[in-house]
Amino acid sequence: MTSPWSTQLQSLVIVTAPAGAYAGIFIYSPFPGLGNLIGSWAAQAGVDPFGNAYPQGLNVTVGTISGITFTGTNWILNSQGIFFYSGTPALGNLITAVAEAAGTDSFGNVYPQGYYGQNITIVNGSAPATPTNASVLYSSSGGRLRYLNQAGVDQIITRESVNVAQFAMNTQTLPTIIGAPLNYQANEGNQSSEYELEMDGIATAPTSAAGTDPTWTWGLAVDGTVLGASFTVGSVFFPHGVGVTVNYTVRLRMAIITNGVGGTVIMAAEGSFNRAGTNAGNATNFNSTVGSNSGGSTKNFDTTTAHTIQAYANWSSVTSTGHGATTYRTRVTRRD
Amino acid sequence: MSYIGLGSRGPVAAAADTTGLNTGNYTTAFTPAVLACNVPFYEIYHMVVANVPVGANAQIIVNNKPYGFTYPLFGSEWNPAQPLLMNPTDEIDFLWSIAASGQAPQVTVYLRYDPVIQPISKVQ
Repeated sequence: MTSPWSTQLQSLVIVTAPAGAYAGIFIYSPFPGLGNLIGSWAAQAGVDPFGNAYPQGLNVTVGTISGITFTGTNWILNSQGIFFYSGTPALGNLITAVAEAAGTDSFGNVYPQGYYGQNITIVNGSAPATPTNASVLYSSSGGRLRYLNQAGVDQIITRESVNVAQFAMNTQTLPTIIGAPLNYQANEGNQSSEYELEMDGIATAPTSAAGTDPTWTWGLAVDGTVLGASFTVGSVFFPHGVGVTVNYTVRLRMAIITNGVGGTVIMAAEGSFNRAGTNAGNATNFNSTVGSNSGGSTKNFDTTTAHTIQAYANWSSVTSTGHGATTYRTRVTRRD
Repeated sequence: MSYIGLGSRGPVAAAADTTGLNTGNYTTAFTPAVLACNVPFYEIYHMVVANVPVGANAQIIVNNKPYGFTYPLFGSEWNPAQPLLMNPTDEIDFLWSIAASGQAPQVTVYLRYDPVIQPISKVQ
């Protein structure tokens, strides 16, 4: 019913809408007409007599809504921020928040200032513009997370993990696993992508009282076959029968030169071996750095299929016995 | 039909209630003396309320019986589908919801009559 009073405050307004009815609260600017419906609140969706479609419920196309709380089945937007929950909002299921200040939501979930989230997925995109007084993280081809700083430095962030599983070998004279694997995923590599394995461990010289002293050869294997980065530690490190142990840190790297089924890589190794003792550098307690690389010689590596990249080692054939080694920690790193 | 205007009455400022229906509050009273119509039947076809304090509303009483209600924001005008039919002894009052102090609402009413029905009324 329309009130005869032109201006009338109402303590109760009930709007009902039979199917197909043009009923509700409609605001037009500057006057009713097609394209002029700037807000509606209707019990049923429909189209007004001027051709403006409106949804069931509230629809506002211009203006500002402030000082209120919006809620959904699993989210809340209020003056503190916006909060997403894994299901009905409750203590323990806040998964994302963007807030102007640190606080606690009405369910007891604590959130920090800024962005808070269980995870974030950044889709691949073109390089963003250089920021001012800021850093930008973005994802480039192959799903690589890149960092762009205000000076325009744009580099892929190194990804790495540490594996503390132990990998032990005895006196094997055939290449034997001596570190944790790097599981290369099909097509994960790009040109200049680099993969590195860093092993920390202890080798034990032959314990037998008699026999010849062994050398120890390392290499980087792809799918169980040593492909390159090989080097050999001399027998002077492993004298038999005197209880020598040798600490080692070895890094084996592989960098992709070209992509594809016929892809190529270069390999390199570096590290140090230290005969353990109280005094370093004397006749019995010495150390040595090691290194090797494939230089201009590239190795074949199909970048389109999955591979297992792993450190292997083997002893030379000797008559002494009791020697061996254990890697206690492997760092698996992906760069570029 | 052709109406003849009787002019307006007011604006009449609300004053402390004297009807006994709104004791202590403001009431705008259009008594027969204020309306001052000497035709047997006339109509109030338009009303304007103004100077209404925010939140104030009024019960509209005609001859001590409820006739309407208004809850204006500052002011409002009344343009009814059916005008209010009156005779010279009728009284219309606005019983405001606010105490009789401070800002007093004002009401103006506009009157007219239909000369065609006057002779008939006289017969009766």
